Amino acid sequence: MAKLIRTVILLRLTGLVAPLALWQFLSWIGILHPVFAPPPTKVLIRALLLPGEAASHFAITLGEIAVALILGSVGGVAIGVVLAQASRIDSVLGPVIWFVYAAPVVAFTTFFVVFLGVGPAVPVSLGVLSGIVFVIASTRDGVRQIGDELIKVGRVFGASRSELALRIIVPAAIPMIMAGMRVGVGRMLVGVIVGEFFASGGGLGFLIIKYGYELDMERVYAAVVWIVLVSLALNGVFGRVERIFDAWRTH
Amino acid sequence: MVWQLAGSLGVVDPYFVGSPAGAAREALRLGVEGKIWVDVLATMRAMAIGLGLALVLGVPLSILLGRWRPGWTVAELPMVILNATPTVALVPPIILIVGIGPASKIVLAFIGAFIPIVFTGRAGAAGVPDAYLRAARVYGARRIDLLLKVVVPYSLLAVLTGVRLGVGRALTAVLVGELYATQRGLGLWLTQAQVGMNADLLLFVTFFVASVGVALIAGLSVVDRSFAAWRS
Repeated sequence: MAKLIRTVILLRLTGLVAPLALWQFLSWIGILHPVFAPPPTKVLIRALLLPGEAASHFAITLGEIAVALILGSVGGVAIGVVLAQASRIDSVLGPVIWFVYAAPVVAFTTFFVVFLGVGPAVPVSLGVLSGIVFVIASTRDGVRQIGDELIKVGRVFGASRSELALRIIVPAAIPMIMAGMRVGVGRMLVGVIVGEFFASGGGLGFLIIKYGYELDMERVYAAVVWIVLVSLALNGVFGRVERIFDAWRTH
Repeated sequence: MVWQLAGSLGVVDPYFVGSPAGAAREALRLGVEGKIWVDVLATMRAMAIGLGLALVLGVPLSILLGRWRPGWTVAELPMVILNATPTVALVPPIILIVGIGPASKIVLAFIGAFIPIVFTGRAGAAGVPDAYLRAARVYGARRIDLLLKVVVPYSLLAVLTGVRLGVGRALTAVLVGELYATQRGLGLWLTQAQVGMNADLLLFVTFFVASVGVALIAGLSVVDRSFAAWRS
């Protein structure tokens, strides 16, 4: 058994290290262009130094993701609850939401740039727009799944409309809301990065463009590495939160 | 409606935000000229080629990884990392390496589609019920028959799901690439509308590009559903 586990760990390490080793080797013997495809060791060193060199850009990107996440989840839950309760509004707004759901949101980039100018508002809005539909859709479906009994019991105990929404409807729908947020958060990251490409003056996306113009590919890849790490961290955290609430729902 | 009214009443300045009526006017003008279709075609062609390459390389790989356990043990971690990589983060480096021609867009579409195809295809191939395989063996199927007549058809439905997931990513990456640098494609229209400060045109182009994406996804869902119906 212990031997099997060791083999599995060894195989996994091979999968991670072998492509990097091959890349390193190819750039060593000069097959890969040292400017466009710098060896992984150099990228790794740059990646380790990057938070020190560009701390403010890390703060900007993380801040924008946090703001987008808060606006997207609060707004998404509010809109989702309203849509689930008011079928007339739902029939008007539903098609709009499905459109945004399927549309490539980056198409709105230039529109936001003209509208909002250059600044953190563009990445935040693109992030919110990219992710909010997932929160809206899952909140709406989550609220619809709540049995009438719960709401009736609440009414019997004299709960007002807002109390009903905050104390009963939203808590009961939380597992579904979390599921929507897990999908949405990845999209939000993409929206924020694209926004930073075109209109921010700061952030990891901005760094990629800036270093790209300077042909400093080592730092371009270092910034990409950090975006991947942020994405993995968000995936991990939200996956975990979703599982916790999922377990909580079945109780 | 609300938008148009706000512009007409002077609440917002139509010079900057455009108006739906103005956008409709632009739509009519462009519809008559018909120049935009060349760029729709350019974007779609890059996507189709990238998607085709992703299928050619991704489907055999996903079936191999689905049926050969150690292979997946090795490949899982790098695949998870690639999956977490926002494709758009790779747009500027890829354009710097490949250039601004169609090749860069094809590479982006390929990356966007390849990863979900391998993920879902592998899950499909790994999920072939043993009972099917045993039954086929009883009827004297050889290894190659098992693969072609049982495993591949079983995995294809999952592959289609991967295609649907991947096309969204591919389209987004291609559009970002076109916004960043290109000579042809839908993204170019967005940039031109912005540079020209023609808000009506920008409004129309934005919704047109988004609609093309919606139409593409909707079309794929139809394919998906008819394939599912055909299989059962």
